[in-house]
Amino acid sequence: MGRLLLLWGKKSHLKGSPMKNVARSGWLLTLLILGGAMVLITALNM
Amino acid sequence: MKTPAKLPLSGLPLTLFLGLGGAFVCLKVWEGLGVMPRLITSYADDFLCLPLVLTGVLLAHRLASGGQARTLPLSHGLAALAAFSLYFEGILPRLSSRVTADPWDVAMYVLGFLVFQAVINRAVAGTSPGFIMADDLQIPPSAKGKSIGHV
Repeated sequence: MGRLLLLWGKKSHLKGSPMKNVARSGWLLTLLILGGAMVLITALNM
Repeated sequence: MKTPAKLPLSGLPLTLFLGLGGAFVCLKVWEGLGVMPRLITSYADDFLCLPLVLTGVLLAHRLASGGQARTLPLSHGLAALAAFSLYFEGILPRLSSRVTADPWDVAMYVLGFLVFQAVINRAVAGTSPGFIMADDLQIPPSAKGKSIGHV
């Protein structure tokens, strides 16, 4: 899934939407995992 | 003959990651049994949290880019540190009475982040960085502000 995200972003080199540039730089992957971890930790603490 | 594929994590970073993961599981078991004081487990949780989560992010980046030499950019680690500190010590305690804010928790997050950055966030020796991501592109100062032509 991560590879698909990066490839999706890479295809939009220099002309993509901001979302695709975020995917291309790897930030989307980082944010997805961080968000998932935060939701999981919150659920475990509740 | 095909050379065996290198693991996305090896050596000291792998040992430390497994050690921290094992420590987390042991703490949770001891906490469940009531053997370990809650004070120790809560600080240990905060210390272990970022190295484990950021290693997950690093592994995802390495698997996605196909390069074991890839390291997580400092900005991603700092963003994680800021997000965890703000959310778990600033926002969540206001929303839930079960969670309390403690400045020492932030110190534990910082300590965990430093351990990750110093030991785990290292390239696996003799491997390639995989394909290039946007963060890897360095624009020379002389080229800044100049047109690169019509795209």
